[in-house]
Amino acid sequence: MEVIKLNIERDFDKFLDLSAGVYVLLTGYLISARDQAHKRLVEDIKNNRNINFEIKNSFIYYMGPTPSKENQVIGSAGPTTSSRMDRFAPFLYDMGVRATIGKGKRSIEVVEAIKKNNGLYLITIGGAGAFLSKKIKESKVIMYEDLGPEAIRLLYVEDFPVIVAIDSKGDSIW
Amino acid sequence: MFFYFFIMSKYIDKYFLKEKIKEEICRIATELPQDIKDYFNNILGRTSGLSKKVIEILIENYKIAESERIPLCQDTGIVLFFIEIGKDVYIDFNIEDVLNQSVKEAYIECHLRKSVVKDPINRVNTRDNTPAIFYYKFNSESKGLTIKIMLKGAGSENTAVFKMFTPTSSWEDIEDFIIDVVKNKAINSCPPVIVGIGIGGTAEKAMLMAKEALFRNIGERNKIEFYRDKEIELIEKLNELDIGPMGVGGYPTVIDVFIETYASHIASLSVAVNFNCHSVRHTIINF
Repeated sequence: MEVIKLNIERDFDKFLDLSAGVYVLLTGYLISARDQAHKRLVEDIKNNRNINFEIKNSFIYYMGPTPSKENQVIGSAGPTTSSRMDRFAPFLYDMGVRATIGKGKRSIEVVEAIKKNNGLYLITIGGAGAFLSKKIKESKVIMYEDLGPEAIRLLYVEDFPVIVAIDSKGDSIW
Repeated sequence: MFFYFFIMSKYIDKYFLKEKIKEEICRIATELPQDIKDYFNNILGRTSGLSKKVIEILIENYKIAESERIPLCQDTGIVLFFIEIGKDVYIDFNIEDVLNQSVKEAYIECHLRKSVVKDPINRVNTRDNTPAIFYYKFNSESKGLTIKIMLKGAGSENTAVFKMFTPTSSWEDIEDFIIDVVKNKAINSCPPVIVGIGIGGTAEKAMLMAKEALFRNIGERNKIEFYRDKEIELIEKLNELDIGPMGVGGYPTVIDVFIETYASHIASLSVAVNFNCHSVRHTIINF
């Protein structure tokens, strides 16, 4: 099986050429956000409020971790079901989000948004939160701290495993 | 009479119960049951490509989780207790208060995710994962107290399905329904999944049977020959759906299929399906 290693910043152009079904080890910054954070984020963007990260070209990871212990970067940190974010995703792809990372299928609207914006949908391994936590080297809450596990985090990952589930042409592994 | 009762009854110590349940919650959040570990290792040779990669990561995941006590999955669930009270059990305290205290201490001290909101619409987090959900059974045939614990994640709960069939429906109609549910829903429940199926009874009885069936060990078949055969047939048919681990295609889609049944009204035929993700977090404790 082919394994491709990519750095989000350095190899940015190569992401457009990835086809569905490819296994990639990602290095770079991700933004973690799930249900309630999406609801607030979309409202805040629409109301021109301050957003503490660059939305353009960002990679959003649908994840809410367990609390970290002392000497841990982050607790268990696997993906949550992406379809719950389908109602927010087309708007965010339109705003410049490059990729989303989660688990499970997406709606037709999301596939269309991915095609239109040259985006990507990546899946990672649900139920592998302990394994994936080892790939996260930095974690910092940057927005909505009051949401606890649902707060928005800036993560730095190294060799974080993902599978291209929907590529920029809208082709999928399904 | 009083003296007889005192000698013959099983007295449950409140503190011991609280500590034991807390310890078990922390343990099962980070430790996969042996039958699931064996399952992954046994099927690895039957997988290839992406599905093999996913199973390899799941094996590595349970090893890291257990050795470093990191939760297997970040969704450490809502806690369900199935409490079976034997004929000799004597409890002189509020068992729900004690078990909720175990949940609270386990989720805080063992760094598990607090995933419970107090109200389904207003959604304010209780910050200690309480309250748990409780079911009781009085068993006059057995002795002692048995507590089954399940940490149920939402990924595998949000896909639960219930359907009322007409009583003249055939097994084939039910089978088509189950295959359809797995085809459409299993992908969001972290496959390979365990399929719990409750048939008969009333609406809530069917769903409860589907849920409790998930406590069975892998390979543990229904005692009624008809349903045992149906379980085996379903495992085969569902594994041909090619959904695969985390939906990447290939083998396996389901780990096992457990059917439970109960008598029903002449006009009813209820069928419930409840999945368990591959990250099985449950145990059975006898006091």
